[in-house]
Amino acid sequence: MKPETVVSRVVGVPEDAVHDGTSNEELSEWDSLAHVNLVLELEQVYGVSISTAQAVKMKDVATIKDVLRSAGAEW
Amino acid sequence: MTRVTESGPASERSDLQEGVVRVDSGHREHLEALASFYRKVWDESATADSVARSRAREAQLNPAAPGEEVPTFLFLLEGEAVAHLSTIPVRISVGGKTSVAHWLKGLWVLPEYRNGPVGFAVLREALEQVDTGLALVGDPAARRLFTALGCEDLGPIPNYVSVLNPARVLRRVSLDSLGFGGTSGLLPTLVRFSQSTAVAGVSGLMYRVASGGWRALRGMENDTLTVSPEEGTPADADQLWSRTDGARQGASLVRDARYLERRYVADGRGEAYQVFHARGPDDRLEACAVVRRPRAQGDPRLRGIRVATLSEVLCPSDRPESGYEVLKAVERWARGRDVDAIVASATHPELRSLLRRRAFLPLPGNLHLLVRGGPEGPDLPNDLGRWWVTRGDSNADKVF
Repeated sequence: MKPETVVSRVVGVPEDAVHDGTSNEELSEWDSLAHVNLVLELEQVYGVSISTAQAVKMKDVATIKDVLRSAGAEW
Repeated sequence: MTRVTESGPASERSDLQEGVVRVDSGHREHLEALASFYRKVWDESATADSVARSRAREAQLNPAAPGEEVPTFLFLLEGEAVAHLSTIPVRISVGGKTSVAHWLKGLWVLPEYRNGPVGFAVLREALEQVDTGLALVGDPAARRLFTALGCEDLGPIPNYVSVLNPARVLRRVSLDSLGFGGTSGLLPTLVRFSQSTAVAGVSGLMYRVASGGWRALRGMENDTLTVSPEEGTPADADQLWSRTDGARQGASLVRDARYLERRYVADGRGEAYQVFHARGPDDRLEACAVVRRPRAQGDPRLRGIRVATLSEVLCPSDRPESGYEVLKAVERWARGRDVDAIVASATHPELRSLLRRRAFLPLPGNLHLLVRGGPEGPDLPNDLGRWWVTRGDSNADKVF
């Protein structure tokens, strides 16, 4: 599953509205609670562990992909 | 992992907790981080030493655990605080039984870290460390965080306003800037009409006549009571509190003499507040009220309107007329100080009834009461009307 799909599902926006540059500043639905759910969902979908420091940096889709790659995830 | 929903607590922990510390004044780095956060957000003059002194004083006054530091939480990133949450320890009475609770207060995340995990993390840690948690929260996103972590949202606390200088208020008030832009009700409607037709003077006169007539119809005078503004809180407030609380059997902060003194008088707070005592012919205290004086430098959103806040009202169920008389005295005092309006918040039907009798107009509530009972705490009522919450609770009267 692509990270864009996970973001779309958790944040509650259409998948075609999600791209590398999509950020939590751009989407009002991507609030603190959605972010926590997103981290938990990413950990489950990709079987990785995301640290707090990494979670704090994950403000856009491109960074999410970087974090997932560094944790060994593939999609 | 279990998804965090808006209706229940996270049932499983991830490592998001990493980074949250409970401030311990024994650790200089905590004080430095807290002071740095204060400087960025609230107080440019804060230093580690001033923060240490303030926390030591709060510990002395801590009613939940005298001498112990008030729980405060920070989210640290590379030693810098990026999110903050503090608490106000109080004693509460639920069904006549007293226990300890904490107001959760000052949840703040630096702008560059918003919509991320840090606010959630500090709130979760705080709720785990305090037993019974209470909060007054306006922001919808923050309310979602609280409810996701198991707090119950009991709804908005009704607000009221007594307009003492209607022409001035109708002319100047900005509904949009105060967050009442889309609201209905008598006052917002009157404000819109007056401002669109430039007849604030006439509308103000009509309002004054109508509210005077209402008070004459609904009044509950009691000539045997003497109400006066006083320095400090009444030493005999404990008997008033026990009569008040014993009859209601609802939920409230313990508003005894010690609480009133600490909340409204100690450490120079008396300069900001005026206390009113209502006494019967036998000099027994029958009611008491506390009003926050208008600010010298008011909230810019008020456009120069002088607003006092009714922070506290205490009267027994069987003596509503004593509460009515104390409200009258508050209005008299306020008129003498060129106050344009008095705002109040009240959850309990008895107090709401008194406010309506004195022609306080209802305004939409903006702060919600959120509660979470702990494993050691009492069963908290989930009906807002069973809580006695007023504007002074959780320091919510600081807004204007």
